[in-house]
Amino acid sequence: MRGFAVYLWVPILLGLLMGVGYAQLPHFRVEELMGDFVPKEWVMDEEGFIWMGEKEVIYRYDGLSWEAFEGPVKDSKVSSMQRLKNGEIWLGYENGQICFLRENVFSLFEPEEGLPGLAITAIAVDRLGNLWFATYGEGLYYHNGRHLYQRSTEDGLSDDDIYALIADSSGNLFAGSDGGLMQLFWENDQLQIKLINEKDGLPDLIVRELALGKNGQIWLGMYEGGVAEYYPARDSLSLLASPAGQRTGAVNQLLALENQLLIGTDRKGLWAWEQGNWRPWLQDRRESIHALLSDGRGQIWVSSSSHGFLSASYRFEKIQAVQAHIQTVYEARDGMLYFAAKDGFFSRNSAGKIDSLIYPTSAAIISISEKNTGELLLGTFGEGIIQFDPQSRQRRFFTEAEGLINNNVLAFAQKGNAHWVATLGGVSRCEWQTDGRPTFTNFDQKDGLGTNYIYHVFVDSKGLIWFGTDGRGAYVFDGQLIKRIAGLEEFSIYSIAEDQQGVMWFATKDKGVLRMQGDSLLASSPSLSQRQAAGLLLDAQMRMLISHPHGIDIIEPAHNQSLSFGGEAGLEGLEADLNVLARGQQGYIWVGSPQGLFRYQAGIPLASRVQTRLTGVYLFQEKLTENPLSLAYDQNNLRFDFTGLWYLKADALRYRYRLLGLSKEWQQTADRSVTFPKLAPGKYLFEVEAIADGGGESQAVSYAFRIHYPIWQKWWFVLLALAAAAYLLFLLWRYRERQLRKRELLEQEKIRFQFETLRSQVNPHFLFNSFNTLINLIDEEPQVAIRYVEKLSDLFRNMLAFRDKDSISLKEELEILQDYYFLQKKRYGGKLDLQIDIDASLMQLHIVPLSLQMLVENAVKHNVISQAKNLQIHIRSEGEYVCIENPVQLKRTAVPSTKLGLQNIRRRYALLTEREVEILSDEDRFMVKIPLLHSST
Amino acid sequence: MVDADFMKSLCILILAFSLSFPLSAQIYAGAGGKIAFSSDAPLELIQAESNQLKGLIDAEKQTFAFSIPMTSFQGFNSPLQREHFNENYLESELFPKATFSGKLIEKIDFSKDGTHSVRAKGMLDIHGVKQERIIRSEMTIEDGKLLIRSEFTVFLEEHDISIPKIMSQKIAEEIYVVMEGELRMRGLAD
Repeated sequence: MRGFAVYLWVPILLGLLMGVGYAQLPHFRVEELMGDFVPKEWVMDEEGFIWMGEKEVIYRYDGLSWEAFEGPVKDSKVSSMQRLKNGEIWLGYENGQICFLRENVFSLFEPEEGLPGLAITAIAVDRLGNLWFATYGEGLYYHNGRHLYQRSTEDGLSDDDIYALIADSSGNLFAGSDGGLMQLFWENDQLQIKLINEKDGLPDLIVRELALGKNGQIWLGMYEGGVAEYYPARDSLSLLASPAGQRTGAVNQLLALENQLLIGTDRKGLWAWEQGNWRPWLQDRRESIHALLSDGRGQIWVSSSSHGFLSASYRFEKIQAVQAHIQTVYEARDGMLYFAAKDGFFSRNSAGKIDSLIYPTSAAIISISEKNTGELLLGTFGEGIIQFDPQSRQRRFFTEAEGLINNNVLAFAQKGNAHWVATLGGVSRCEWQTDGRPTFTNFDQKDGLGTNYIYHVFVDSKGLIWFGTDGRGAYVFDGQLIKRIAGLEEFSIYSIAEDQQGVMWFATKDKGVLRMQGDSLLASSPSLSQRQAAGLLLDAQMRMLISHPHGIDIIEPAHNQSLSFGGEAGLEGLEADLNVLARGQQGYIWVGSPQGLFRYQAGIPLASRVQTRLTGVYLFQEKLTENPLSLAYDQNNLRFDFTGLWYLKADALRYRYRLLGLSKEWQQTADRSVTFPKLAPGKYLFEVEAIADGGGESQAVSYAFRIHYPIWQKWWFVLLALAAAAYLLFLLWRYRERQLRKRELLEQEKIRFQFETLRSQVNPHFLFNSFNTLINLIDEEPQVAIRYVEKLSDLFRNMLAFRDKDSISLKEELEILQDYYFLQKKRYGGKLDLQIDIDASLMQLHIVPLSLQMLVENAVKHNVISQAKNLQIHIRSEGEYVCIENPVQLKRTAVPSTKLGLQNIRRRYALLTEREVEILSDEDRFMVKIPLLHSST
Repeated sequence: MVDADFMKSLCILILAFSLSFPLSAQIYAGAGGKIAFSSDAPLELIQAESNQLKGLIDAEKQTFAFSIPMTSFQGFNSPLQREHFNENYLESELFPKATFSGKLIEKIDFSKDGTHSVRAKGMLDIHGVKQERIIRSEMTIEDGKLLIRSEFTVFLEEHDISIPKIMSQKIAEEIYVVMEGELRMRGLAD
């Protein structure tokens, strides 16, 4: 078995182990370590996490799990850690490097002067805000925010090997070195160094550890000289006497707690020193203590060589292991502690020496009180009251024979010179005569008590006497009458107490604790870990202690906070003993249990509420470094890691969480992580709260974020898209409309053009002229006449053939034109000349049918063609245009014209292409430019 | 650092020693000091000693340096054992000397005769492995002579001296060492 009682999880094992009592220690439990890492440097941050430095990795511990953080320094071990007032954590390394942790980010400290390159053994901040570093070999360095300065033996230090450095609240710095203690302070901008060494009574110059005491003193831990206490204000040094017959060994660690100083030694274990008394806190007295830490709320941590990493609540400390089951405890006015077990009655002095005063007892002693004259009153089960003089050990018996109402004495209460005695036969008031003999006045059912079974009697601040009864509630006696307390009639009252506000507390057998203010029962009962309550006692800090079979609950009425202590504090099996709580000096409360005597310290602040912390938010398993508040629609897989800080019972923490926006229902879990996959867009608020068993509730921490709707689900986008679609439809519709109209127009134009062409071609003039020419030809040149008729018919056939088409090739058009020209040439002979210069490559391009023919026809029609004035028509290509040009020599009598031909051409072109038909006309020339088309439509 | 600091002072000391500097009045030096060790294992007691301990103490700076050649140890229970000592365990060819150098914690007045219990803190270098040690010694000043006597233990594990498991019954893990030396003020020694 291990050297001391360790906290084991299996309750059965625990039960077996608890049979073996170990003296004088808080109930340590072994915390799980991270691999084989033994913490040597650690601090608690503002949030309550414990940070432990190793090498590259800095661990953060929350009572259950370890999180590793990458530090910026490689290949060197952390040799010092310090939390500054601003919350930053500074780390010094064995190779002299320094880094700090600010808002969860590590940064290297790199002053321009460079760092010493030697182990940094301590870090402190002085009153001026200078940051001091103690080194092992180069004395002290300090940084004033701009520059780094050094102070070494050359500047008056006693030695350059510095082990420890602390700042007190009066502006002093203290350094422990191989040359004793040094006190450093600023005076007129000059650093003053005062040496405290063997001349001041320091027994050992090697001062390895310093701690700040509660009263402004400095505790010094030495290599061979034990522990000393130095008051800078008085300049007085005093040595702590070593524990009797032992040497403390080299002091590694000092930790000043509320009432005691913890001393961690090298290979000599862990000790608690309190007002001259040394108590070993670890059973194994050969182990080395590497580090000590307290959270200031009753929890301590120890890093030791053989047990590793330990934690304990020291609010309840086992002062004395007693094998027998302690049934009642009482501290007398002279400071002597008395307790009764099933088989004996014992005393314990302040040095811890136990005497057996009565052994064995014939009757069980179940209640103890004290007369003003110093004799003890022992209430027994069945044998009345034993008056016991601790000096002479003389006993006197007061039983039913002497007038006591009943011989089963359950409780005492003192008022002035009288004792009230609760028994199983009613209540006796016992007034002490000058000869020490009692006069009993008895009260029972006949006097108004509902039952004769009285468990408890209590005198309140107004002097009223209260009785707790079995199944009949509580009664109060005002000196005249016994009154029943309304509202409590049903209950068995084991214990009664009054708090600072005058509220009466009643511990019931199975309904917890009820409270009464004035005549009215308070609706809210303090939340207890158990329905059973036995003893009640108000501590020096006005907190109510409630003993029950599984431990002790502590209620702070002012803040409605509660804490419960049970097996984890070593408190087990208290059963329903009524008188196991006893008030002691210096705010202590004694607790008698089957395992021994415990001491409760009221001076330790009650642990605050459970702290809940969000340790990480992950988006698709990727840790978010800042709260983005808003996420895109597809950033919808979120994981929240959280933890509760409740070192008292870290493993008993439960959590409840909810994601507002998804559900308003709280979910309970023991896990410390929750993932929300595929979250729909919306606004969310994640809330999580740690819940401790018997530790009250914590405040929820929350994380607000928003997942945006995808763009296509946004109202404005939808509107915009609808509008765009409508517009598109409108355009399509308009385009179609236009196309239809265009086609319609084209058709119309085509028909009109055909009509025009036909009309012009079959106009009588043309035919008349053609026939006249033909007549002449028949006479003169019959062969040509035949060809003329052939050409004429070709012309008409082509006209008929092409009239339906939107366009024909230029080549085809030119063929028609040649036919037409042939016909006209025969008429005008040399007076008409048509010259065509068309780039051959353009021949396959298209043209509106009969356009050139019509333009030539127009030229022939409107211009004079005579011997004097020949008409020369020139057709040529110009880029992808065809130009038809003729000189203007208008006939004097204008030929009737519909002007439809040219308009027709233009309209048809407008329907086929964007390129326009250009008409250039002046006094001399008339030119039409017709675009050539690339394909037939 | 003790090491660098010490090296510095050691260099100065050696310089002073070898050149017989006239300023060496503050320095006590001596050769031929005695050092003995014993290994008390369940099955065997091994003892050896050497009288080639050299030492220096700077009274002004309160620093010291001692050195012993490893091969100078005589005794043992057999010549083979001595060979093992030098070849297998201490690797004397690689690490020919063991040294202890550092500073004196208690400041003593060397000018007056008397006996003092002084702690010497420094680096103990055995088998090439340095360990910081605080070793108490008794110093007696008498007519300009300085007599030193000290007893201490060396943990083999601390100096990476590995003993085969089979030998652990014959070689102790903790070696008990006694050293005695006589140093004289440098000026008088020559």
